[in-house]
Amino acid sequence: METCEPVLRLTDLRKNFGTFPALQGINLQVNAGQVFGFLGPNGAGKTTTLRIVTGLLQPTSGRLEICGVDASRQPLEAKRRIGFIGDRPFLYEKLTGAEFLRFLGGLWGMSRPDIDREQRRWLERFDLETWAGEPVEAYSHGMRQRLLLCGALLHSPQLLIMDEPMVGLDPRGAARLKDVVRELATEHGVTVLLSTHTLDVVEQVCDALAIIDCGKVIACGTLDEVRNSHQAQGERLEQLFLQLTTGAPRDQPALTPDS
Amino acid sequence: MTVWLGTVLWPKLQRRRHNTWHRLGRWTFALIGLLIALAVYGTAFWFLRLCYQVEVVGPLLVRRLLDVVLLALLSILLLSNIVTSLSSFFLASDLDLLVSAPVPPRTLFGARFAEQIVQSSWMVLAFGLPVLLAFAKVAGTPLTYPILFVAIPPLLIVPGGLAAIITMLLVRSFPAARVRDLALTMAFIAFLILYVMLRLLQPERFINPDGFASMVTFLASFSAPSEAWVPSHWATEVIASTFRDDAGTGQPCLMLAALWTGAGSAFVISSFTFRRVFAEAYSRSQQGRKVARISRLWARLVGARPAADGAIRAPRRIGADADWLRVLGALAPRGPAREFLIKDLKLLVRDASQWSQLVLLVALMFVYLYNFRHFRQIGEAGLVDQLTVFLIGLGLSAFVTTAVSVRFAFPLISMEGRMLWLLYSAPMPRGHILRSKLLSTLPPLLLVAVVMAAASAHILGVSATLTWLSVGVALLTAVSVASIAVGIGALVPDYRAESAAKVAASFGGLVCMSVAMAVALMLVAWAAYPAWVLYHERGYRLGVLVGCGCGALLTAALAVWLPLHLGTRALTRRDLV
Repeated sequence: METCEPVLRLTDLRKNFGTFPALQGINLQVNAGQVFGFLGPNGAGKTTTLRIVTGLLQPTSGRLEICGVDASRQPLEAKRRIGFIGDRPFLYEKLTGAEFLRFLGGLWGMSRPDIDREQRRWLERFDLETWAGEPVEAYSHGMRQRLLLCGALLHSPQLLIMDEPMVGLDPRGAARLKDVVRELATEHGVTVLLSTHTLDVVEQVCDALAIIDCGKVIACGTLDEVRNSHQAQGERLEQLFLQLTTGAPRDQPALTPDS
Repeated sequence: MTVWLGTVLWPKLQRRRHNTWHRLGRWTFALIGLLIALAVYGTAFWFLRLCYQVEVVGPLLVRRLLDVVLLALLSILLLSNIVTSLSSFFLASDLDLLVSAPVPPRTLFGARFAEQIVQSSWMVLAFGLPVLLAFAKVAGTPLTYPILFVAIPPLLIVPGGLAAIITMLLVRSFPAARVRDLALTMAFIAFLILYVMLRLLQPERFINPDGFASMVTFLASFSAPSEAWVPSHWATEVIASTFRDDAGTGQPCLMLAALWTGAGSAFVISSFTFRRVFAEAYSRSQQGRKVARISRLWARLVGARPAADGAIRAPRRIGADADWLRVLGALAPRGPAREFLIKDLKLLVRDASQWSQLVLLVALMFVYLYNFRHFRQIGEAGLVDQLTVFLIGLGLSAFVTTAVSVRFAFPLISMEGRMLWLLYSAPMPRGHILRSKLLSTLPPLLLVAVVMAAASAHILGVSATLTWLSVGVALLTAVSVASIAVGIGALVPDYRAESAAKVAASFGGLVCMSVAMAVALMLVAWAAYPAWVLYHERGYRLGVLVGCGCGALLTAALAVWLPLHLGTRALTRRDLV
């Protein structure tokens, strides 16, 4: 399903926290139908970038386009095209799973029949239909993650952004999530931007990747392209990652809660 | 693809529907609420009728009191809205979800604004409405009742709008110093506004006519539109125009128009401010959660050099406050109680949403004590005798102590939340958790109670023995209400609450407040006869005196034992899920 139309394009994106430059001119393009891995050590600026893309943070400068829509000029249009699962996502504990999805559908301006249809479809897909009437507070971590995925896909986004989705999942849950991600890209044409520290996942499911460090993209392309450009043919991604990011100053102050 | 206001508000309504405690307690809640409202109405009616019957100036006095009450409501609403709007627009945990969704700004603002108004106004209205109804009963006509419902809503919207504007502009202006600086600034701004408004009113003027050069000046001061720019004054004019003894000289229609246009303007301007600054303010609000500007100022004060790479880091000296708090920990006995005290103090100091309310509380106590001296003038004006004023003072001090304990002691168990596994797995009986919490709460609460009681007694100029009596009652009250707050807090904990303030404002908090207040008033009642004896310095019946003392001690003992016993039992039986 992969085409060459850019779904996400970041041009010289910069973000300063006070005097600290968290992003120092990010240039990135994610094409339609790709599963794109977004890697980097802690404090590199991954979450800051994703929060800017989702409209939670404003960039200091630079341009952000989502499916050709300039997010600074038409933020609502841009948001309509995105599904987002944060690294510490919020769920209304007292709502049932179905009610939560209905609420999300309302936020995205979907009609009631559309909500019902899509809700049924995704709840069944993620084996949550029998739990749909239970309050979210009774859900396990894996079920919450699946419910969030249902919510993010409910309005048929063109771009799905997932920040550390593997955290806390057991091996079965993680494997299932990898299958889903690939299925979304290949069968549904959803572009997935995936931020993770689990490098195996990137090797297994991502079509392309970018490594970010100290607020800059230091490597970008398919895995083979990245290997070739750094004379690391045949190396595991882990070795390459360590090689590229070694020596950079670590543990910058936590200027945002999730950076 | 329209997103309706109701869509954004819907989860909050559903959350209430699914809240088991809320569902179970609906009727209890209604019953307790009705009883409290009746008590407030009865007291207000009694006092207002007394004032209304004062010859010549009675109706004017009631009208002026209405002005005072509405101004007080407006001030409290402004304070409450400022605290709530910070949470509603910038701290609520669902904001990431809502802001990342394609919700039009006007819808998001409308939903948050409505939520803020409801959250900050419902309790003020619950206590304020019975008082206003008492005004209508004493001085009004049948027309007064519907007019109340026309004149009061704008008074809720105006402070809501102002608070939203202040909050958004402040958050936008404090880029890296989000919570701490902001909370401190807001607390002081709120305090200043409250203080200036109270002083503008000069409540002492209408209490003591002798202070005026002549009765003519006195009456003139009643009718002078001294604070024509304050919305509460407009509401007074509108409501008072329906009173039986109204001279018909006011301009109620103009004032009503001013009220509603004021409310409309507040909404429109705050909505406009939201559209202009919210995106930037929300973005900034997520920066510097851990490294506040105040820490950089502190670093400069202690001479720490900035980091070579320009990165912002908390100065090392900040860590020293831990030692300070360990010293304070010596107030509690060695063991779990001391560790709880130190831990709770650290959390209090480091959580701006907590200590900013402490600052507010101290400010309010100051304002209360400053204005309490006018109670003496009530006695001197002959409206009620000095002994009654003394007992009212005792009751008010008890009310403040109760409010403090509900705000700070009641949420203690809930705030342990998901850390309870640690406490439960510690090698100590679960009952120790409650006892430790109580011991860590008592020193500050005793201090508040004793200061309030002694200062009130001093201001009223009562004898030393009466002062000692009020201090004794305050001590018993503090111990009792602290135990009630900790015990009921363990009985109905909310481990998932976002903040201590929300726990305190929950239904459980209201029940706790009602029970604690009832016990506090019982203790004041037990003190009434001894106070009468000491005040009049007459002969006494020893049996009655001993009975009162024993009654007070028994009440306090029961108030300490029962909630702690029930709370411990609940903690012991409850599984950790």
